[in-house]
Amino acid sequence: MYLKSVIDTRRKGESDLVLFTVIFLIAGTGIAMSYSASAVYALKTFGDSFYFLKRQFLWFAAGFFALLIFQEIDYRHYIRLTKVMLLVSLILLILVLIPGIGQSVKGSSRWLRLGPLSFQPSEFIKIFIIIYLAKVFSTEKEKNHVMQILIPMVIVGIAFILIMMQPDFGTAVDILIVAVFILFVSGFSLFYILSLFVLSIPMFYLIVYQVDYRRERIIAYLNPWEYRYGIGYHIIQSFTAFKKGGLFGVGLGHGTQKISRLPEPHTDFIFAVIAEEAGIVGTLFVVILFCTVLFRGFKIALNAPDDFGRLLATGLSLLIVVQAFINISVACGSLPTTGIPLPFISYGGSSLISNMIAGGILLNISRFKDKVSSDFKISGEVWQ
Amino acid sequence: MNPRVFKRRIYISGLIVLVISVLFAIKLFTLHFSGKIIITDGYDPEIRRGYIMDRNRDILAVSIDTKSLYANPEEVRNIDDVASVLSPLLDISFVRIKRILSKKKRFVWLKRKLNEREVRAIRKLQIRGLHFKNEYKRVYPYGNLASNLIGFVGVDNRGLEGIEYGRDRELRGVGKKGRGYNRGERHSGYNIILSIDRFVQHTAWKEIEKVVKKHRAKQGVALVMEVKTGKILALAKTPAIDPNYYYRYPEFARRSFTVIDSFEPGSTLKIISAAAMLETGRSIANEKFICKGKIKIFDETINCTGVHGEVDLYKSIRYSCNVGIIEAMKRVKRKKFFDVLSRFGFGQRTGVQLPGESEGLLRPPDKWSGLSKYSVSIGHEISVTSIQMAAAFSAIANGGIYTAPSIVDAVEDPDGNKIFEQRPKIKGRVLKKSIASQLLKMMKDVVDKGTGVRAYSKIYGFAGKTGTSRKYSIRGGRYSDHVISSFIGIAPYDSPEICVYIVIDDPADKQYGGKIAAPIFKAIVEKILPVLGIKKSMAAPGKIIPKRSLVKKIRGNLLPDLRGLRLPDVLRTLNEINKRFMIKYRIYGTGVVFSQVPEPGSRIEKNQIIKIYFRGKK
Repeated sequence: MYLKSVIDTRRKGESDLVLFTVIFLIAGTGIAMSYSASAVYALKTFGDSFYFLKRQFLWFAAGFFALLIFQEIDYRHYIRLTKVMLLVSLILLILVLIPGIGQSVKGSSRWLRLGPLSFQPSEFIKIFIIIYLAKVFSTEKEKNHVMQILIPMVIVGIAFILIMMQPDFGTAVDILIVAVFILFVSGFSLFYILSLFVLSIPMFYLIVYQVDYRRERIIAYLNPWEYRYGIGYHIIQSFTAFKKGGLFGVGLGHGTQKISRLPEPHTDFIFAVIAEEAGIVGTLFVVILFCTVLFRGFKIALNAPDDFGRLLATGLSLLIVVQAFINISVACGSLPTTGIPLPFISYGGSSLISNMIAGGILLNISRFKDKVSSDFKISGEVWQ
Repeated sequence: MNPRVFKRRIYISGLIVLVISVLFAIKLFTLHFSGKIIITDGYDPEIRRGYIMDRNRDILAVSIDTKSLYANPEEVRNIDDVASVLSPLLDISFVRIKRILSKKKRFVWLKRKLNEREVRAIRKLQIRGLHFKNEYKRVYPYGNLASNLIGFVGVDNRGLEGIEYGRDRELRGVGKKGRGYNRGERHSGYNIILSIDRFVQHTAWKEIEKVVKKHRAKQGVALVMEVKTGKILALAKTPAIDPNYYYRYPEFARRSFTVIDSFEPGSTLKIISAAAMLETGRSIANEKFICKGKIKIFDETINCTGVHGEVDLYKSIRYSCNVGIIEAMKRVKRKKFFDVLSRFGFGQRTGVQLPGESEGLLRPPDKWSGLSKYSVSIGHEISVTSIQMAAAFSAIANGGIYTAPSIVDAVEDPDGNKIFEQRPKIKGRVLKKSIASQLLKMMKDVVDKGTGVRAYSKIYGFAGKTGTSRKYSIRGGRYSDHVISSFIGIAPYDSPEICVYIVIDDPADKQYGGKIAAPIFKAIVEKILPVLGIKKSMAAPGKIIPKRSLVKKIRGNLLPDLRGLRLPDVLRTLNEINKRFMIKYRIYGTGVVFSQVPEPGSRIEKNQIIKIYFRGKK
């Protein structure tokens, strides 16, 4: 049976308990915070302050189930599926852009409708792309040929552009940053990485400065105080949330910034709600939790039995943390505004489930640390 | 993959993330505890700012309740229907409303600050998705009357200048006890009652504006202070701005020159020098010096205003003789002089409740050059604010007792309960009573027969001192030929009640203070003394005559006594006169007639202007 071969328990040890706990903690925080952030809005719009809470609970249950499943699936099975994943990604990304099929909310078409539910393909595609990159770079032995870097980068580039067209700037940039990190840890010379950077500058310029609202956001980001009644209003409201929070915050549910002052308080600006309601204690706690995810992820990568596992663990942990850092930077005014959810915390099914899946895969990789020698010289051959 | 390279690069990546996390932590600290971020909470657009009123509770600033209409396009069901109904009601084109409602937003303004009729009509329709929001609009009924001290509020109804800024928390009702004042469902801020008298302010402002225009000066200040209480009755500055439209004016016009800027006072300070001399020894007053038009001191030649021949201290003050003052100053120790200046409050903030007050500049004596004592004695090398000057001279007028100036009389909650009341801030005696009256006598001479003769009044006795100082040019590093002309006066002489300071900054024709500032003093004081209920010191006291008949009979061509009448009766009487003489009349103040110019019983002439002063009856 295929399923039996997929869920193979022969060589598996215990999964990383710390990572498991931390993910659980973050997601728990998420349920509480996305409820607190959305209650007023939900009451106003749907007449039910628990509207988002109920849904988030469902997503949490589904996500947790996904985590448990993926924890059991041997990560090495994905190697054979990369081509399928890329094809599916391409189809989904194109489908989402077709009006009528893709669902458009507030000017972005990021969603696909599936019966009563809608889901956001880019949340899953980013995992596909990380798996693909991990596979490509783990099978090449020498890291000095231009083509080795070019083909994967073209594929990442296509995904990037398609996601940008939705537009979903945050997710696209998240994928790009993680891709560069994977290049870096897989041993490519710094020269290649730097040239990629230099070559992409004009592209970024076009992307950012050709679009009015992005240019506006950059201007607002550079001088929020000057435009505090116009385009800088939201970021100033976010600052105010931090200031109001102070040391311990105003108390869960007692924040006022989320009421019509912060944009998307239950998704993009949820960190500002945490800042106001839980103070610096809360915000530092969240930052530390995400750091822990990264360091456990890197530890799993160092202990992984093969190159694919190493790169996959590196990529997935970065995927979560870079996204978190982009979201936090936006709330802190350290990056221009871009709509990207805070992993595990922001309200949203696709985001929560895809992050849970990433967590599940990481946990699965962690189960192989003791069973196989972590001696790098032979480890590349273990899979064969 | 090279395992060594991988391991190293993983560590580097980890380090990068760690550094970013530390930067986050720092950023979080600055955001959570930043001083730059001012919490605008407690600010709620639905809090009604308190009133700002003058001492007679005339409203100088008020927040008017208006309703604004906004829509949540996500809730609006049929955009075409809604737009076609709203278009005629709001007087906005159908296409425009449709465009607004088609926006992908949850909040769009349809029309701000609607009138009653519109509000009622839209309420009746009960359209889903349309909402009202209370908005307060700050209105200043008297426009630019006292703009430099009241200040103004910005778009978010927060004070940006003046009292509006300095007392923002109270006006918004964020008191020490907590936030907001809750009355029923509406939140209101506290009211602030100023010591300003609207009529006095108006008079002072009109006069100073006239002279500043006439002499094409840069700016001008007229300050009226009660000498016994230190309360400021008027603080007028020109150019003034209309706070209802503050954004139309340049920064310079918005500045409150009266407390923020300091300047070299010039000869008016000679009175303080004289105080120091008299404290050193009464005999100095009788010493005689010869003025040949200039004096050489520490290799510097200081010119005098003229050649005054033999002068004593009285004469030196009367003719503002620099030589006489400098010669007499030789007797005074610099420490003594500094001590007197400090006692009169120079070099320190007066603590008047206006934001941005400057302390002026008075260097300590150990930083003085040999020349400094003499420069300061004639009002240079020292810079003062108008408030400091008025407070110092009020102390002389008040028999040597200094009272710190104040402008906020009281703060009360929306129900009228006083939560703060300003008592006179008496700082105590700074000068012997006998010296104070001696100085006052000198100042009376200035007005009676000296440089201030243009302030002489037939009705009242005044004391005063003129001043003209060269403006120091920072760019040139020396004194320019631009001047500040000033006059400081006390009225009435017999029993001083008010101190008035007139400052004219940079008149284009470079006129002396005695020539242009003194007449303004007279014009203002003659108008305001009767209104303040201060009796004439020379002529017979005018009484309020109780109401007798409604319309005054006109006997021959003599002006009837209008005092004690109310406005309608006055107008009827004036109409009668008008039928025969074609007179013009001007009305000042409210209440009952207190004073009139010309006096009752004087002959009425054709095309004459009759001025009638009203005063509130309590």
